[in-house]
Amino acid sequence: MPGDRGETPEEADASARREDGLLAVRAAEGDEEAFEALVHRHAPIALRLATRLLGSRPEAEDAVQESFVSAWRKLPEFRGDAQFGTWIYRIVTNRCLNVLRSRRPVVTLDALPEPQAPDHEVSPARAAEAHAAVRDLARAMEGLSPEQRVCWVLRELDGASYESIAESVGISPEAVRGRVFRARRYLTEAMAAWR
Amino acid sequence: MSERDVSRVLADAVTEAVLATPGVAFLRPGLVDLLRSSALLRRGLPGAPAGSAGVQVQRRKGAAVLSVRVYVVLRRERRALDVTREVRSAAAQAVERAAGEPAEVTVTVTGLV
Amino acid sequence: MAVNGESVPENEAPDDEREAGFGVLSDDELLPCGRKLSYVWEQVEAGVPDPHIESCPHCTQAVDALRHLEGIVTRTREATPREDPDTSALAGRVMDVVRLELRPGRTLPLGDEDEDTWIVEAAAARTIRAAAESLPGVRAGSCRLDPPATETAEAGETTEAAEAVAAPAGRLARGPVRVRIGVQVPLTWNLPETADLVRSRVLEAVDGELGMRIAGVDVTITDVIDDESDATDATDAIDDTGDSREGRQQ
Repeated sequence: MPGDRGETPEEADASARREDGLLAVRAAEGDEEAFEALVHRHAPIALRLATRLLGSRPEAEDAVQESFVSAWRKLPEFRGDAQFGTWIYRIVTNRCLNVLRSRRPVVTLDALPEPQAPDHEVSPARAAEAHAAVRDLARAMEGLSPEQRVCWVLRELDGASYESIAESVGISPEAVRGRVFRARRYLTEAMAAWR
Repeated sequence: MSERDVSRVLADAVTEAVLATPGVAFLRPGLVDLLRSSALLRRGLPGAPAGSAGVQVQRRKGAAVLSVRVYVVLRRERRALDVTREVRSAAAQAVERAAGEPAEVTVTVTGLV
Repeated sequence: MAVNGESVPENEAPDDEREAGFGVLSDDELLPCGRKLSYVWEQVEAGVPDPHIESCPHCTQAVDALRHLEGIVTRTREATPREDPDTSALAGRVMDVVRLELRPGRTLPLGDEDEDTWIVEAAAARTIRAAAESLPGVRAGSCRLDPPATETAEAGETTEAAEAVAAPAGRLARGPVRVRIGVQVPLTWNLPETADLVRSRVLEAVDGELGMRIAGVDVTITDVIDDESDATDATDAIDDTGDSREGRQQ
């Protein structure tokens, strides 16, 4: 496994990318075992992303599953222009955006993931307050438009650059900035109103 | 019995013979053939092959001879060519026994397990 | 713009319409001091020190609101479990669908010219890749088998004609097949020697495991693997194959 051999993070990254490239070529040629390896390598991150975007783990699993099946079908055209990881990230992002757009505006609080207690020691009162704030944020996020939500989650929770969000979603970086700004403004208002 | 019924009986005989050949794992067509045969079967065309998707028996239009196509997945323990030769011969014998006439047998390996 | 994935419609509903219930109506907000809210926040995000922002109560309030949000975002990030989620069941469901949609590809001749036995490319490629990877440290990538030119097609049109006529196999031309394989090899290996080794392993496997007649094996080294531990394996492998020359005799 990368990291076991005392590689630097950059080296581990490079060898992971090289292996992904090899697996993608094989999978594009019909090697389903190579594709299975790609699924195992990338599904965890894809699932994290989808869960953050959709706020629901079961829906996220469906979206990720369909994204990978879609990737299998499109692999022969993929040609390795981008890295497989980047490509699947985009497929998942766009699928989640479509799911969000097709949702009725109903807040499904029961489907929200339970926040875990942070590692560092915190007093019970503070911990409860922290949980409440996280839940408040999750509730507030339901008020964002699908486009705002996707851009904001990618920026704030995934730390993606405006350029890469723009490429994933298919809009300009300026449009991404605008959406992130409007999302932040909505959320700051919401959090202030509920404080 | 119709031509189709005969073809089905023959296909069954071939299937049995093929599965009895050492080194054969199971019958499985390639995707293209699966689509082709199911589309033809749905339309009920006279040219549609009979039998399981792994074994297709038909008489080509204008040809006197029976055409048998076998799609198999083999085990790796033996050389693939040796197994396919035995499969061909077993299939041909099965048709000869069941139909009293020779057949053109094509064997395609679709996988190795 | 085209994204290689799901299609996203270009025209979406204006975002302003979703700004619900908090009295926010305009696209941007002008703080009482005259600064635009978006500008203030951008300065903060970029980490640019700004004396006005630091001293103005309106700007400071706006910055505090953003920081408060960021604090909760940080807690949300930290609240995510460290371990990657267990995706093995999900992967299983994906592969269940994939296995129904396999792409076997072209059909290649197996055996002599006058025989009627064939093998699909994906199955032969699997055997060939495994043979290449029997060399320690070697990773096999692309593996294509080119059928002999069809009777009616030019040599250059071989691949398309053969793919279009995936069935019935019996009508395809029969003759020796060309193998093209790409491999990644450990950095310390001698590259021409490696290509020969791969070629000989492939020929062994194709003959012994498949029974396919081969016109030639094109080996392309697509990458070198630079990892420490692979270098150790390579040394062992070179000692091993250096002694036994018979594998290289063809």
